[in-house]
Amino acid sequence: MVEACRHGDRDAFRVLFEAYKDRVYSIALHYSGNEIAAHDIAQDVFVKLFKAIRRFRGDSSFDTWLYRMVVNACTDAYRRSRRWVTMGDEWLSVPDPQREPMEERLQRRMLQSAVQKAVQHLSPRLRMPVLLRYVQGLSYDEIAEALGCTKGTVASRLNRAHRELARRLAHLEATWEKTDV
Amino acid sequence: MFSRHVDDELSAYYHQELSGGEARRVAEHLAGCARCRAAFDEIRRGIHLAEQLPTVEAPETLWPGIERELAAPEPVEAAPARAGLGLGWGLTGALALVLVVALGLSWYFGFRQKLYMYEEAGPITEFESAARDMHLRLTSGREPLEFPSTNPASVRDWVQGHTPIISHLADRPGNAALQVEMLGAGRMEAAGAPTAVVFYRVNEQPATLITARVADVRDGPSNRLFSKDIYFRQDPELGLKLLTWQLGGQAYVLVSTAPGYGQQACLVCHTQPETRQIILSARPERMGN
Repeated sequence: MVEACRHGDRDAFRVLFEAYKDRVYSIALHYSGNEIAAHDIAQDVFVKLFKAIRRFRGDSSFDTWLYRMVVNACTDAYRRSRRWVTMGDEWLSVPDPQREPMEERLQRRMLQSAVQKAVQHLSPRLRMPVLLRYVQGLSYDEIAEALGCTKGTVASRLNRAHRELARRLAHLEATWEKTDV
Repeated sequence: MFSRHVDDELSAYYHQELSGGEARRVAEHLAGCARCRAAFDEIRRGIHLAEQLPTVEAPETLWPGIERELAAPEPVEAAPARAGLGLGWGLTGALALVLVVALGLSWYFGFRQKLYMYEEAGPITEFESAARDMHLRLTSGREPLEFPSTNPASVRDWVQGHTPIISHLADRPGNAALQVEMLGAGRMEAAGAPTAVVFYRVNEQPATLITARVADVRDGPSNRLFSKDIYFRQDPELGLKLLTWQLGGQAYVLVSTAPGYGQQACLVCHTQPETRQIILSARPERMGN
């Protein structure tokens, strides 16, 4: 599919887009906390991807290469933004897993919203490794490559982020238990 | 025997990102260190929380936006000024205003929290007439744009390079529900003032924004419509909505057929969610005198 895209196949690019759109958008949204900014960031990423994919040589994995673009787009947008407004709960349109009882579904959404807000409060340096790990599932090596830093730096930042999240959301411990965290 | 604490390695340990030897060392240390075990518990809680981050579905407007970007031509360089519109202006640095409209308006709305809009029933002013007439000429094709361009940043640069007006069109106006298509810019004289013209579409409805320095507009400083409040006027015969206001010493008239009071057309400049909300929820307070 990547090879077809490299030859300018627009249909193949559409398939590629469909495969990655949710994760790219999610990272942009969790990073910026702003639907409009996330839309712009995601659009920017895919436009650049289409124009640059001919130059992709396969030196790194495609995922790592793509998420390097995502990181750069998020960072550039952050620098340009005057102020990003953290959205409320309403933008969290997460498909309900299976058919949860209402109470559990509400608690899960509440927890997800709280986690999202807590992630928003992380510094950008800590926020991006968290998003690459938990939205995209990249390994520490892949995150390091996407961020242009060492694996040790990734480990250190994730460590700090985990501790900060735990402290910030300690009051929700009862909710974790109910949602089987 | 003293062994170094392993706090910094605990996330990597949990995620099995350590080598075999490193992982064994951490495990042995944890067995004998209450402090690091407490840190490990905290990190596990943080990891479990982070695992709750959802993947959010991308909006359906994302692909059409990408297609539009890929189909858009490269920015058009400004054509030489035509004799019919050229008024011999160059940059007049000493007279140029330094206000950034979008920043100023965002600050302004943040301070006031509400936008006051009034419905104007008095006679149409010379400046408003000029805006309306230009809009009609542009939409009918009788007035070619001096600088046709689909790139908001290029339009912004052209306005600032060819008029004494400072403009701050958003790089990416519009949002998932509002498609803004930039068409270009031009110049005119309106009520005696050198005036910048920006022409675009909002959800396929044409809109024309003109702006000039209040001090240059005939009777501008005494014109009550040039205030921080917005004056709304409707031309039912032509189906046009006119919004008039002043900010940072510049007078604006926005002509469109956008729904409601035409505020959607304002979003060509305003991208901050709070500002948009304030603009879109504005309603006329009372009739003007």
